[in-house]
Order: sequence, then C-alpha cells, then structure tokens
Amino acid sequence: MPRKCRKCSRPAVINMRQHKLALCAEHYPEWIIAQTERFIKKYHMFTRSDRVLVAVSGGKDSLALWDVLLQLEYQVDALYLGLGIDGAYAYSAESRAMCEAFAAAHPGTTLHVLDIQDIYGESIPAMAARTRRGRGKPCSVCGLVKRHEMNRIAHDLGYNVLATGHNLDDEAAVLFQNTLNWQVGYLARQAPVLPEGNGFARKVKPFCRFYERETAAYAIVRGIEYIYDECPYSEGATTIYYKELLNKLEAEKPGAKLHFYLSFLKARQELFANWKEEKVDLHPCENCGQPTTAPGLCSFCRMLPAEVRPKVNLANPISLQFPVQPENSAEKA
Amino acid sequence: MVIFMSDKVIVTLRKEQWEAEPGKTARQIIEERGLNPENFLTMINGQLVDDSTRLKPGDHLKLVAVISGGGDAS
Ligand code: SF4
Ligand SMILES: [Zn+2]
Ligand SMILES: [Zn+2]
Repeated sequence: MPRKCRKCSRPAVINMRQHKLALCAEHYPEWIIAQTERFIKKYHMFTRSDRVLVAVSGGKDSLALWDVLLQLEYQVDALYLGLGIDGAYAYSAESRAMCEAFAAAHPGTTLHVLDIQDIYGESIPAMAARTRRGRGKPCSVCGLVKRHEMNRIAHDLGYNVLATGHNLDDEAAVLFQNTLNWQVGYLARQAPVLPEGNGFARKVKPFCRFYERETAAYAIVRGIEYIYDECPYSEGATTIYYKELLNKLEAEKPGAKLHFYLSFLKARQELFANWKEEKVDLHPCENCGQPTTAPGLCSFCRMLPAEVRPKVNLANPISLQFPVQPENSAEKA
Repeated sequence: MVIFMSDKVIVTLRKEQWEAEPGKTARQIIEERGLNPENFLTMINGQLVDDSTRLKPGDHLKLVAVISGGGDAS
C-alpha cells in the first residue's frame, strides 16, 4: 500500500522523512503555502505593505516562490535577467520562455525582463571571455552582474524587498563549504534576511527551510513548467558536489540537513552577536552610485567599457549609509 | 522516445532508460541502480507519487532529479 496523506488518507505525493509527514496532491501545496507564511513572519521578512521583487530564473525554486507569494497575496512582481547563455540547448531562451509563460498565466503580476546584452552590448559569456574575472568560468562575472543589476532594478523601480528562491539544500551547501574553509565573514552574513541599507533592498529567502525536492514537488503538483536543464556552466559546480554529500548523510539520517542549517542559525546568534564587519572604507561608485570598496568605479562598472556603463540615477540616487552589504557577501556563485 | 508495452517496469531518468522488475517500490528501484533516493522525486505514469509506491507490470517510472546548482538560485 502506498503511503497515505496524514490529513485525508488519500495517496501521498511526497513523504518528508525529516518531518514524518506525508501529504496528498491537495494538502501538500496548502502546507507549503502555510509554512512559507510562517517563515516570512518568523524571520520578519516582509509584510503586505512591502513591494517584493522575486528574482526568477525559470527554475523550480524561483517560479514556485513567485507562485506561493501570489497565493499569499503579497505585492509581488518578478525580475528576469537575460544572461545570453546558450549551450547545447538555448538555456537562456528557454528559461526566459518559462518565466514569460508563468507571467502570462498570472495577469495580476508583472515580469520585468532585462537583457544584459541589449543593455551592455555583451552576453555574460562574452563579458567573461574579455575579463580576467571571467577566466575559465563565467560564474564569477555572472554573479557580479546579477547582484549589481538586481540591486539597481529594485532601487530604480521602487521595490524595497528582493526575494530569491534559495532552498535549504542551497543554504546547507554554502554553509558546509564556508565551514570547511572557516570563512568567518561569510558565516556571519549567511542569514534568511539581509537588512536594507544604502538604498539597497532588503534580501530575503522565504524558501530557506524547504528541501530542494519539496520545492520541485510543489512546482510539479501545481503544474508549473520550469526549466529542468541546468545552466551549462553549472556542470561540476562545487555546490552540486556538496549537495550530494549532504544528501548521502540525509539518506542515512533523515533530518540531518535541516538540523545542520537550523542549529547554525541558532548558534549564529550567539557566535556573531558582537561581531562587527571588518572596517572597510566604502564609497559610492563614481559612475553608478552603488557602494564599493575600490576607489573610483565599482567592480561592475570597471568591467564595462565606458560608453555602456549604467549612469547614476541622479533624481533618486542610492543614498549612502554605512555599513552596507559588501559586494562579495556569501552567495552560491 | 518509444515505450513498448512490457511486463517489466520502464524507468527513465533524463535521457537514460532501463527496465526493472515489478513488485518493488520506487525507492528500491532507485537504490538498486546505485542512486540516492534523496536526489529524486518519483512519477508513475505521469503522476507524482511517494517513493514507497510499488510498481506494477507495464508502469512507467520517471525519476525527476531535483539537485540544481552552479552559481545561482535566483
Ligand atoms: S551556473 Fe554560473 S554562468 Fe550559469 S547562471 Fe549560474 S552563475 Fe551564471
Ligand atoms: Zn490529503
Ligand atoms: Zn558602479
């Protein structure tokens, strides 16, 4: 006999061993939506008066997040950044099509599409090929561009919260990596919420307590089409390696991943209660106004030829208060 | 992809396809292949099911890999 839903005894679509909870196709999405609301409140992420921008990639996590926030009736729109990445399977074109299809089916929300090549004249792989930062793999350039542009767009369009679809497996893999290397600065900053500052939006991760298979199951049950293929550059990424390692542990000890992450969040409060960001001198980038440690231009503007650099929005400049979220805060990239 | 009627279970994972014996659970079939059930969701004949579900002859078991990675989750 297949396992039954705890609430109604119909066949379960998923069994979450770490919660000893199996749910059916009707009760599972209800549970995900209610849990997301609980995490949003618990970590003081945002309220219904905030304007939330979800960064969508066409993948399961970000589209599921957009869907859940719409179900919860938050003021939410989405941002898709066209990176111009084409492998064997037109990754960027397909992922954009997934986001557009979702937006078309949900008339109450807006998808902002921003194509990096259209604005800056170069795709991410081209930028990477031209610069030292991109040597070997475009992920570092890609991460820099995404961070800069997400901050810029949220600011210029008046969103005060930026939400990303990071799930628990993402967070646990980064945590594992940062712990293996004892990256104290990164550990101090790894949190479900990064407060706003300097005109930057608050950054939130409402799915940070869901396993990756749970966000995928939500997308499938809700009939959300997402891009199943990965970005071609993600192959061999260390994140995937750490996720697989953690899942080996999880298979033998259900709940091990969850425990690793949640006990870190608890320990973090004690460990870093008096922790101060290393005193770094930050100033506004001469060109775009985003805070930077480098004198003159920020690393994003420095990477671009002068004629295509984004100009600072003088009517509504990013105000500068310190300390801020430094450019290199821990991300998966 | 062409799937023939069979008294076996047809298992697919991305572009790979193989046969398994009916009567086993989806989880057992994953483990027999040397894979970790934590990395997959299971669909039988197009429906998402819990992996304790047993397969019948002629069933199509699709394994959905859930690990994504690389630089971002945005
Ligand atoms: S894998 Fe690398 S290049 Fe591809 S989207 Fe992620 S960060 Fe960008
Ligand atoms: Zn039910
Ligand atoms: Zn700049």
